[in-house]
Amino acid sequence: MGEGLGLIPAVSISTTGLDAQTRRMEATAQNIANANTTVRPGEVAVGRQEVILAAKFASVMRNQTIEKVPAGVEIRNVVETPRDPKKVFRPGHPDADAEGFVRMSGIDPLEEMVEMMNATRAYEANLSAIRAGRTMAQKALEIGK
Amino acid sequence: MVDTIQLLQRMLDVSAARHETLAANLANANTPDYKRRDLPFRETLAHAMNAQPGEAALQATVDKSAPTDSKGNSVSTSKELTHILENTLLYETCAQALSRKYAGMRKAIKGSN
Repeated sequence: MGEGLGLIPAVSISTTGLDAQTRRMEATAQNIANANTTVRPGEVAVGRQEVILAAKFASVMRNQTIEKVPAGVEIRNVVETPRDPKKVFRPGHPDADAEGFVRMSGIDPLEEMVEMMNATRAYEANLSAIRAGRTMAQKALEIGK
Repeated sequence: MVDTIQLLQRMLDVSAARHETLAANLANANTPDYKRRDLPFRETLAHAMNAQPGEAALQATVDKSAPTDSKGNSVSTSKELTHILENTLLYETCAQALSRKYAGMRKAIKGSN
């Protein structure tokens, strides 16, 4: 189905899953990298990136009717939601305000770690599906041996 | 008499189609409001045996019995993986049985191994 030779069943479907989880991982990495980013006075804090996923379907013509068949998952968009910045008392910092407070991006590293683990597990699950598909293809090639 | 080879071929078809459905579920394990789909093997096979090849018989249906999480998603990664494992084994069994069937025919033709 779709790209590829179609030798391994559902490989293109599982690949979309791998792509989606990779993009999630990228967003999480970006968030963790900015967990300690300070905000200049008068500027907006860096937002938390979140990947929005949506199910993907393909239309195929079968028996003169158009049918929707599963085609995996797609990244609908990546949204950046601002978090309330944390205020840390650090007088002398170049980004400190008149009272000596520095605003830090409100990204929670703990939340990001959970997200990262979630993405890793989901990635592995999609890999397992590909591996199972490969086993099926191998067995199909052994028919008649 | 049921044609064994034809039955096994259809079983392989249904099993491969079910694998696509299960893989799509796994790919959507984090998609909000996604409901898991499945291909009931028995019903699909019965349908596939009566239908012409390529006819609309391998259509997956939404599994309404699966519980949904807070995001409206009803995919359980571990359950899908178990289904995939089970389905792969079934596929292997059918492939193996088909091989044996062919081996038997070969033996009958040649009269020996």
